[in-house]
Amino acid sequence: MASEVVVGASLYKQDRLDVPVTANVVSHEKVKQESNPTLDRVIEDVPGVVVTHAGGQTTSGIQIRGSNTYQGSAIGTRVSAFYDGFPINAPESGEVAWSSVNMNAADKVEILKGSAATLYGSSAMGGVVNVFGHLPDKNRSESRCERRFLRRSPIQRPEPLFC
Amino acid sequence: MATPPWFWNTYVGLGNKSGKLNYSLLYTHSNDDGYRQNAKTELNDVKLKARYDIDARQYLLLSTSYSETNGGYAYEWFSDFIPTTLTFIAHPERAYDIAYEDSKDDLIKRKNARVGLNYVNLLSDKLSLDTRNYYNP
Repeated sequence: MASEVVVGASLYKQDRLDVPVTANVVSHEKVKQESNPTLDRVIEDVPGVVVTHAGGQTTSGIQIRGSNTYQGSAIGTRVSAFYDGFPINAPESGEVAWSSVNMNAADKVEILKGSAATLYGSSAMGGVVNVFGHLPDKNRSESRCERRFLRRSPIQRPEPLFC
Repeated sequence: MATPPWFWNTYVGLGNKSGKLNYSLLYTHSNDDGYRQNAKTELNDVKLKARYDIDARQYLLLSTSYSETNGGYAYEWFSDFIPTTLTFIAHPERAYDIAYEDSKDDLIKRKNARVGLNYVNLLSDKLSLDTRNYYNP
């Protein structure tokens, strides 16, 4: 199993295999592969993370290992999200406009699955999403322009077993 | 045949490390048609991150972002709760975007901004001070 360095689990650098919670890392290369790298798109392939777009792009929701919305309390789906260590959850609802958080400036995304309340507070019962913004170590300018389209194959329905 | 979904993603950025200052500035514009009717999204986003090394053991980190999204409004379906069976019966025919012609192309606009300042002092090999101040308007 490939090992990686994670920071968010204990707020200092550790080997991913040494941290006491399950941690996943979405690399910069993976982020670049996305047609439209918003935060929800980038982490939706991580095992245990469920992204719902039931209401369209403007209202995507994230659940980690089944963390659900607790009606009547401002904790969203109990997932806390941070960009460079600063919370991006809405203070009144606890939710994150996941599709509004662009990942073009991100180095990597760390996902902690399961309760991380000791470090991140009670709103992190479901898990934590940590985004690390990029800082270059030399003079650098870059631009990218890209247009893609998606084509889906028609669904092949199996033949009925019994008529 | 339906038109396939189109994505548009473009950004321009610059950054540098000069002495004690390290910074990155990036602007993004993206479009996503959202797979279904009136679920398209348009995003404009600016991110600035800068780090200033006060000395070998202290640094200040500034992380700011501003984004505007303009996307199709997501209407929920009304539903009736049936207490005897503990189930919900959805009524899409009463949804705003289906029942009311004028609501089909409604848009929702969002503006998000964040300014965060982080001061870190490595007091010793085993002890560090990490303070964060941020503003989410």
